[in-house]
Amino acid sequence: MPPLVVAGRLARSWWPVRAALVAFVLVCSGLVAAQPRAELMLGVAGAPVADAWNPVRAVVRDAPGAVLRMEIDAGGLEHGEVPQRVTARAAPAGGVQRIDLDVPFPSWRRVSWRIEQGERVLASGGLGARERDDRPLHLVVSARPSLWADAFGPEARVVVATAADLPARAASWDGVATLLLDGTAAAPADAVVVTAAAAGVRVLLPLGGPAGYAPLTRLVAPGPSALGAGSLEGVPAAELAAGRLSSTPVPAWGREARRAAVVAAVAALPAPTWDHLPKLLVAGVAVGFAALLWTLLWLGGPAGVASAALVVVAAAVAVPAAGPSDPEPRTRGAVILASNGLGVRTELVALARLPEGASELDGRFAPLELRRLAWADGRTVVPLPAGGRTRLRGAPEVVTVPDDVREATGVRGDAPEALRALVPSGGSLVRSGGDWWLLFPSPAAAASSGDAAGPAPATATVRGRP
Amino acid sequence: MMPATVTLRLPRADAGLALLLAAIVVVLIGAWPERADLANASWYPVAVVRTSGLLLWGWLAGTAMEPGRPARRASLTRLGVAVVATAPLEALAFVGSAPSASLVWTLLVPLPLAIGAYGGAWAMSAALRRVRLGWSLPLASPLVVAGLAWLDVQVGPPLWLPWLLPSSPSPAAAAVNLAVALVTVVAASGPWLRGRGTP
Repeated sequence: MPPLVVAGRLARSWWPVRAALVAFVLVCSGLVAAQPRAELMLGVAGAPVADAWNPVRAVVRDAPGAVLRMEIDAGGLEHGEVPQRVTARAAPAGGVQRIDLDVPFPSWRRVSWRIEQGERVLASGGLGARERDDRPLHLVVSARPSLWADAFGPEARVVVATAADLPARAASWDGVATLLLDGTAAAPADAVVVTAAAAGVRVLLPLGGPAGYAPLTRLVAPGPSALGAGSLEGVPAAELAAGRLSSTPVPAWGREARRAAVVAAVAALPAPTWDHLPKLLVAGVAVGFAALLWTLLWLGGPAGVASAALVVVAAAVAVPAAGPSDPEPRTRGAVILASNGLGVRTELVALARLPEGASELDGRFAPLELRRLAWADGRTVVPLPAGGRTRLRGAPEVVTVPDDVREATGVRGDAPEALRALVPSGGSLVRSGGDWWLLFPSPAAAASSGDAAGPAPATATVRGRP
Repeated sequence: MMPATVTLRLPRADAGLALLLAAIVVVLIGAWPERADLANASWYPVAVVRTSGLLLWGWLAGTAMEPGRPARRASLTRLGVAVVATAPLEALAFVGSAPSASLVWTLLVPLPLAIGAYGGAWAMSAALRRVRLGWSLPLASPLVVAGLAWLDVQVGPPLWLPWLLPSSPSPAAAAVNLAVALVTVVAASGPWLRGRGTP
């Protein structure tokens, strides 16, 4: 019998085994595919920046109700461990779910995170102190990123990103100094670019480019301009081809001015106070009560004792009125750096607390000093000692400038000196409600004062608060 | 201290109550904040002064060895009256300070504490007098107090220490002080002790 025939018979006799093996492999691969998966990205394009708000994105698959837990140790040798905890939950549904949030990263000693579902940990990881970097990012969206490696200086932190990496929320841009799009990679949405500029980023766009860049090139066609706290600038094709940036930055608020404005405005925030009873009144009531009670008891007898009892009962009834109306007073304000109709708003909160415990705030707020706190499900929980105080800043958000503020001019005389010092010649400092508006000089005002601000406002559709 | 009105069994004010009220009022006024931006932290010093004062009152009354059941009852009644009379002042400080503590606890715990102190001092002085060491009472009192304080520090939850007890409610402190106070009240009212002056 030829060997091939024998092999064919053997193969036919083994087919049930093969079928079982194939079925086993299929079942195993199905099981593996059905396993819940999770991954996390910290920072824009995976590059977190210390002392800045950073985007955190967790993607979970087939893990309904998964919870992201992150602990940031903001302490050091001097202060010991200062934990700041983040808790966020995915929607209780199957398929792919995302948790997107902005977290203020301090200058961390350690960051650890895990995504868990019930008792099961789906993913975990962390960052050590060696991975801490507080230099702002210079984002390059390019198909030839090596061209731009030295374009921002030797100390610059240049990070290559794609359009999909670019965040849509203003707070996510807190750690970014520059965004460069050279037109060689896929273009992001124009709203993303405008949000970046309004948040304080220097955005560099090609003056000409492929068809996908048309909405972006239109933004810089009239010339460079300040927008919000940042700027939009066009880069000529020759510079893009050579991989160098020769133009000087257009005058704009910028990232540092935004940070300085927050510090100045929060220092000017009125301290929250309690409405204690006046000390003189308390002294009079206490002395009067003690003297009356002692006298009645000294007189003695049923009448004296009964009267003393009545005095005590009356005092017990009146005592609740001595409490402060709000044991957790808060004062709020905001500072907005604006130009060309858009601004970046940072909410500021000063809170105090009479009893020891945790104060809760809606939204995520960053502490201005080193302290332990937690962000849980969109709320900020700040533990405070009895009589404790703290000041916090909210996440930056893009707003449109209302007409009454836009039309205001000049600098208010009662404005804090630190804020007044930030306003350039021709700019305005306006108080509206509890908010301080710092308006960058309009092109006309800048021209009259000899400044070189951009000639035309950029217009784009962006979601903002009126 | 003035004796109770024996005929009606009603207490009368005395110098001890005046001193205690004055101390509490002074501390309350001193600790009350002068400005609205200052936190009101007046409750804790007021609570410490009130609890300490009542504890001291109970201890001193216990060592006085008043003979006879009516006198002992009058002493305990005076303690109870002092607890009630000083409570509104502490409540005023508590409400103004809004501390994270229990108002009911801080107002009530001095009563069993003071009665227990009365019983402890009474038992100690009676025992010393029985062995003819009554003369050593001024020396023994602070030694026993220091020993009890040391014991309280060692055992864990505060049981007697007046600067810790108001802000540290615990079942152990409640049970110990209530038990000692109950024994003291029963012993002070018991017919078997009539006229002997011993527990």
